[in-house]
Amino acid sequence: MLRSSVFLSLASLALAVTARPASAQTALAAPVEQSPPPAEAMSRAARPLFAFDFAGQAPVAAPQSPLASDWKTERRACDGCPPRSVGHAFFDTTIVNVFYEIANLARGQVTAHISPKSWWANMEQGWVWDLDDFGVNQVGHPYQGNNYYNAGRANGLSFWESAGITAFGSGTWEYYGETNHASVNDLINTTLGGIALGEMFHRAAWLVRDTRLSGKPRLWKEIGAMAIDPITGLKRFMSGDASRISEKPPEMIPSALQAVGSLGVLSRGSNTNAFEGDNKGFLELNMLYGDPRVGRSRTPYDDFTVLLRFGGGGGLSEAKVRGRLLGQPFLDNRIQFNVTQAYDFAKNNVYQFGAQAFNGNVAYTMGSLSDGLALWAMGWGGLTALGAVDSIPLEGIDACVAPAPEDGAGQGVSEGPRCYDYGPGTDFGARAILTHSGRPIVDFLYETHHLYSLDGVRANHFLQQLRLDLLAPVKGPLGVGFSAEYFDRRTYFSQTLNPTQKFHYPQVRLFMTWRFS
Amino acid sequence: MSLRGLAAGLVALACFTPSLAAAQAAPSASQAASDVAADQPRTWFVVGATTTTLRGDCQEGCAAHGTGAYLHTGSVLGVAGFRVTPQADVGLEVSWVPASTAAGDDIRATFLLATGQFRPMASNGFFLRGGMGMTFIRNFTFDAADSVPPITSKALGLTYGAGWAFWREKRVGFELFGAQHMAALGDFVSGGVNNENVIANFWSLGAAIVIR
Repeated sequence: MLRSSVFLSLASLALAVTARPASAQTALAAPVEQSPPPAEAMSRAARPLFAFDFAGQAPVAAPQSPLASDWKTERRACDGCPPRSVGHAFFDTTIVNVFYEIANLARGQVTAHISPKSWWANMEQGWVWDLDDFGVNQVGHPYQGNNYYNAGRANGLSFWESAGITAFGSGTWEYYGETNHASVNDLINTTLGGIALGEMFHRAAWLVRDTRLSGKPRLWKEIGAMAIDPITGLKRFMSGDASRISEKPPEMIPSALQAVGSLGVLSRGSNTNAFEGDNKGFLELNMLYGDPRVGRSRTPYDDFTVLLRFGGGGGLSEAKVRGRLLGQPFLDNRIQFNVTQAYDFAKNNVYQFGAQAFNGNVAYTMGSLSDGLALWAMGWGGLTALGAVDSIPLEGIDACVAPAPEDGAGQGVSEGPRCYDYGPGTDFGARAILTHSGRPIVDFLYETHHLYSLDGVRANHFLQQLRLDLLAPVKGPLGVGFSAEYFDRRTYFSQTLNPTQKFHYPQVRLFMTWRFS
Repeated sequence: MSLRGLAAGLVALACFTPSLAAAQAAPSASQAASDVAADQPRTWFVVGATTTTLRGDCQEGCAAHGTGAYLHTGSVLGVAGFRVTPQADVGLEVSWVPASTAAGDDIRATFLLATGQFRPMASNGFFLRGGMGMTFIRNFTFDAADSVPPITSKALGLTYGAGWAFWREKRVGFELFGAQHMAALGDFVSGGVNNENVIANFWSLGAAIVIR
């Protein structure tokens, strides 16, 4: 987490520094429309390290890219796509690793004191489970993986190719980026989580960019996109694509887009069903990119959903990403089958859970029930590649606190205890949404995550969630909502000496909503 | 012929392949690209063998931590899958690793893994491969003294590796590769002692026949 923050901060700083020369250059730079740069002038050899060409005039829509005829010769898949370079993708991934390594050195982490000796020791040892904090492993590493992934995307590689780049970056970091032994949970979380977050951030950043603009409006949009996807943003500034007039890549234009923000209070009950303690404020963002209900899809993440919740018992208390890898309609589009990749993170004052999973889901759309009412129902099931859940006893995360590094351990060395277990598993669930005039008014969700803990005491963990949202429009995009949730956890130990453990937590939320689309 | 002998023979055969291939029609760049042309079959098969070193260990204060011996053996593997993009494949890998402890007891590890392969450069045969799934471990030990009773269990399996494919014909080639497999068995109470986070690591060098 901290590493991610450091990276984002430094990236923003780098951008702030480099953006100023760009503005300063505008007085000298000829407007793009008046004097389009010849293609050869944009050749790789002629490019400066940071190639800006932002004119300072008002934004204009370019009817046609001045370089439109050259995009094929530049190894671009489309006019607005980045030039394809596998070598640069591997190189940039290594640079990302070097950047994280330098950041760790700057923070004084003893694990950053790498040497050929530590590399050999890691290769001799092989994979181990690490003892790092839940947030570091379940958010920090996937975020780092997102940087590797986008080193691939920024260099014109496809989803599947960038997935390979992510694994490469993760594997090399684990063996050669730290003195710690290579961690198998990091490899999986960084790779799979990095792919899920990476493609989501990549597409979200392309929602911000407008490649037909020029001038400061274009610059600010590129900066905004770079805050979401730093690697692609940096690459575009360095290559000059950030000021190049072109069409937006067709693949990056969603078939539909909806976003809803919620602001309210949350009350979470204890294991005795009693609602104790203070209510907690929360801010939640839900985004639906594309349309999961219909369409034959062979383009990964042409549809995805994102849920981010801040507050409510944690800084980032919940994050969910569901990205479609494959979609196929049946029965005149009334039945839709999708294969999705899932990223889950939940951490609050009573429980924590995280997972990387793949699901198959079947959805049924029943339109026009009456007066604009429509019902969409979906069921799913799949495999969890790796999940993390609290260790037993589950008495709140305060009950298990990793000690400060002892003398000789140094910063960055986690010596445990680690308060959660790892393992593969399965998941299944169902969801039904009733809409009126296209706006959800009832949202029902049931899901179960099963984990078989391999790193920790061997046990089968079943985590169930039941949730019902009631939503009502007030005026325009403004609405109100009420949500009731119930969490249930049961742990069955492999060794019969340990009794089965059961925990449950009710939760209610009251909130206002704002639709952004 | 022992498994290690078979593996060594395959490796040696594959090592000669580049020169054999070069002596023919120099298929390298253009052929590698054409091998994945859209009108080609999408299937992907790999059958091969490796020479393997394996070691078991446990973690976090486990008494036997760091005492596991490096054992040397061979293995066989097969992959069946299909191409999803011109440079990426997915499939199912089965890998079987028989070994013997220092005391002569048999150890068996079978990996059943969903696997993906990425060929970043269309102009040559370099590839990256990774996978994840289940491992079935029988009679596994992880301390040199064999003081901990052996383990038979299912485990979380994972592999990654890199290699180079040499194409002798349009659809048939050889590949040389290095790979690491891992089997995470978890915690075990064995002999009255809790052994935390038992992991088996397998390092392999191998050769295989590839059919597309």
